[in-house]
Amino acid sequence: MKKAYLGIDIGSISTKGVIINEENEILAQCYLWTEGNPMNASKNVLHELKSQFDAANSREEYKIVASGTTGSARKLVGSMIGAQVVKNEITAHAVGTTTLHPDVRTILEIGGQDSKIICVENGVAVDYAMNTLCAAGTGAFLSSQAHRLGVEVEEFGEIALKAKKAAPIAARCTVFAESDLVHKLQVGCPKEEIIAGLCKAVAGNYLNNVAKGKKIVAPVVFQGGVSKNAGVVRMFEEELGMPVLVDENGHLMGAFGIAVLAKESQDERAFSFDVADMEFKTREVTCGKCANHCEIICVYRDGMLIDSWGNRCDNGAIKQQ
Amino acid sequence: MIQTIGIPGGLMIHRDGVLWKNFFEQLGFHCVTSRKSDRQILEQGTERAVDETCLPFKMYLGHVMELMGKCDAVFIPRMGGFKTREKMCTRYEALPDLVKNIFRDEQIPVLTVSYDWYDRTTEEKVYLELGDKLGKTKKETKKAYIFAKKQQEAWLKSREKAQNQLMEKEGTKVVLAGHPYVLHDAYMGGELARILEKMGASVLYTDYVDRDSALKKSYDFSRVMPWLINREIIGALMALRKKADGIVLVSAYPCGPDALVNDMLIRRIKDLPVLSLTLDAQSGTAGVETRIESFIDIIKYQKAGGYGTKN
Amino acid sequence: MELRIDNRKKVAFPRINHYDYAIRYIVEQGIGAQFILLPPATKKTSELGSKYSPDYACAPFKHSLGSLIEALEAGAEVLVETGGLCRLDYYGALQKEIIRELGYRCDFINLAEYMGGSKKEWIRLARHINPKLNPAKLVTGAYEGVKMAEYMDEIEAMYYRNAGFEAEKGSYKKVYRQFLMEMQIAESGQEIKRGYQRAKQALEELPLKMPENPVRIGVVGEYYTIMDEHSNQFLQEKLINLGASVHRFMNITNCHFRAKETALRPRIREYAQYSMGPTTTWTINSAMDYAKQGFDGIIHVKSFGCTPEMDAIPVLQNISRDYHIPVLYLSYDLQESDTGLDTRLEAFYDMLERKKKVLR
Repeated sequence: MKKAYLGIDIGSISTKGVIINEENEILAQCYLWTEGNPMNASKNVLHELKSQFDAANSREEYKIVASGTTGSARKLVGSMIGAQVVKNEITAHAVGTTTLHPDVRTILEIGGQDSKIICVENGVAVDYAMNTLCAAGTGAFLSSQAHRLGVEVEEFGEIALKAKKAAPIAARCTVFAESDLVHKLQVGCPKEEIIAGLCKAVAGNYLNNVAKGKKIVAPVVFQGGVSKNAGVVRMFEEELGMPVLVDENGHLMGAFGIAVLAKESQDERAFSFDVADMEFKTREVTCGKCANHCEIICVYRDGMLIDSWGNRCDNGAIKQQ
Repeated sequence: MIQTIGIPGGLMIHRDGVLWKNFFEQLGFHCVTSRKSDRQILEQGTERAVDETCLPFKMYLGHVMELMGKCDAVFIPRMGGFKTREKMCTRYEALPDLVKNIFRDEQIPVLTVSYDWYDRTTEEKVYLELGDKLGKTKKETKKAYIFAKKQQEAWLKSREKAQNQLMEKEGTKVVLAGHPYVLHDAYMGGELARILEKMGASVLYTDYVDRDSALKKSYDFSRVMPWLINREIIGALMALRKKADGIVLVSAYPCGPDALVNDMLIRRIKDLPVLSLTLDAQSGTAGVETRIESFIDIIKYQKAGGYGTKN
Repeated sequence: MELRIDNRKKVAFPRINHYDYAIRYIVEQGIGAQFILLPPATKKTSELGSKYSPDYACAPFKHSLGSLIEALEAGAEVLVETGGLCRLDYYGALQKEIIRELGYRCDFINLAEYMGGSKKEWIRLARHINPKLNPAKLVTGAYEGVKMAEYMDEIEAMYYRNAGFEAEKGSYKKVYRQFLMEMQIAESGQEIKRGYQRAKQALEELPLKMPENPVRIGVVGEYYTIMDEHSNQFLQEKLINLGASVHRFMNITNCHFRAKETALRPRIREYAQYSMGPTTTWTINSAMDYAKQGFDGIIHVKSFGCTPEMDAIPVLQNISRDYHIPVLYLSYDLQESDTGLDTRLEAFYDMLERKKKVLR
């Protein structure tokens, strides 16, 4: 039997899963909405991966020997599926992208809540930066502005490309951008120019803020939800004066990267899809042992406490049953 | 060889620019100043500044960029302050090195004077050193400094005089209180004066007063406050408040000294209406306009004896 | 039977990490007053501080205001706030005003008013706190208190350098905690010295599993936030838990007693000709040292809106470029949760570790 590796990326908006073989080829993949329930979403991802795996009769050929989780609910799902590797999404993305694009030098990423830049040399991340303050200029910002304009955010890219010029809009802060936007609407600025302006603002804000002081070297790969927006891609290309590559599998990069990391860990343990049918529950306990009032998360599998975290000090440590 | 000296049109040019320009010109140099602040200058400065830095500094960087290629050296003074309780914000201590690090690739030649409160030096001494650096004799430099200082004082005196006349006039008078480089910058505080005047209020500035006496008065307000400019603002406020109907505290986001001092001012000034405005990088004067309008309304109502009475 | 009533004045000072113990020592052994030693800061401290502070005040202002209010609640009669460079020089004046407006009655001593003053004035101030002051005891107490701070700096540095590699989990922390406990209750110079020697020896004897090339991270930045664990959300502790060796030049010893700004500045000449602000020279100098010594990464720590440290950033960016060393920039306000910081630190550490493995 050949070895295979599972990776799940549980983000605030979407959950992604892949199974890869030792050659880093994707055997099965899945992408669906998290819908605020990371445990359910992960179970659904597992079900889907299992049926793809079964359909290709891969279960006879491959055995999953290691798994990894990443994304905001990585800890929870990690203890749920007993993952060997639980890592943050920055590392997972860097590893995933450099595995698929060994020559990449700069990875731009704008997601729903945050944005980051990763500088790569010889296939290894050597420097990175993340947005520091608020969600200005991220996917959440674009969605809220789309809502205000009465346009679906998915249409943004297409509309923006139609504009002759981009209206000047500042994206430093959501509040200010909104007042700019309202003003532009009031003076009768065409919608596509405003949308192009928003795309430009997102790219400009990113370069001014997240990427400040970092040298952007080609080849550049652009990832994250906002990379699906052709308007922003074009603005990046214009500002940087170099082509910006968007991988069609970009959305799977985190899951792919964490699967690669699971493989690299060489910590092997048979994985069973049975966990997708077990019952998991979480409970939040407020620790009263000091004024920090830490929120401790406890995870139960079929009624048994299997993990807990969230305590700042040892006073709040919960003993496993 | 330095022939043309560039003076960025931001920060302390609004307070000491007359001195600088006359000093250099007296010594036979040609001076160029960047144009008035506008959105483009701010934008290009913002591109190079660390995001958290204050609006006036971003603007200043934009002005420095405007001067590139137009002069042989840019004059970027390093002003720490002359006394322990009359310092400048620490950004002024960093200014020349900061600009050099930010524009390292562009290699801007920087000309500077440098002083700190612990050096126990005087303005005259540091300008004599500057003259020496520029290859001028002590005699020439001293003459140039004295001339420039006189010009500076005359400039301020004429503004003080005009303001004193304005103070005696009838009508609503509002004090604009803030750092000179916020109040008089065309893209920052410049708009505020225009809005206030449009609403029929006369504008008094905290920097158009006699600096020495303002400074002296400020010690009645606080013995320990470390900042020179905030002292000048407070001293001026104490002198102007008798004639004014309201105070608009103007700060540019984010100003370290103002964050603490303006909070103290608002706690202490109880007898006059105070409006506190923080300017951000946006062109959105709409919000500011509304706030000033309602502030003027309050003043007018109060003058007429409270709400409900005719103004 | 003799009934002894403690009528010493109750004095408090804003928290600054475990330096509280040294301050306690000086107040109790030197001045002869009672020191209100506060328990470690919690979320409530930050909440109190930010509730009553101006929005744009720097985080250390908010933290220290929170501490002072908690001290009042714990019965403090005399509050002491220090002066210093930058905005710190005005903390006392504004905090005094805020505390008065909140209606607390207490004696508020703003050391900013005494800075640069004569020795006589300082003695008069100490006498004001304790009329029965013994000046000779004050001198010894102050000396021993400072010594304690230096010892704590030394042991702390050892701890963060090595604890990530302890052979037996928790062994380092145990010794470190024991040491801090001894400093907290020390009543004589001898006790301080003995506690220090014991801790130093114990730490030196503890077995380590140090890899050949450990990930080394240098922490640089703003005076208060970098030293105060509560303010930086236990940054260094988090880093050793990830497995790094953590170095920090900035501490009371190095800042006040060892390295003078004027002595350090010539070393950073290629980046700065003048002093760029209160602690900027230290920041640049240590970042350069770490880069030259081949550290894997640098973390720059400051409170949000900290002007001098903001102005160090363009220099650090140049150092990062020149020496090929990644710098992680952290800007602290009063954070609610640790999640964001944890992700950043983990990613930073992972990056350094992977880079080391592949590029070596």
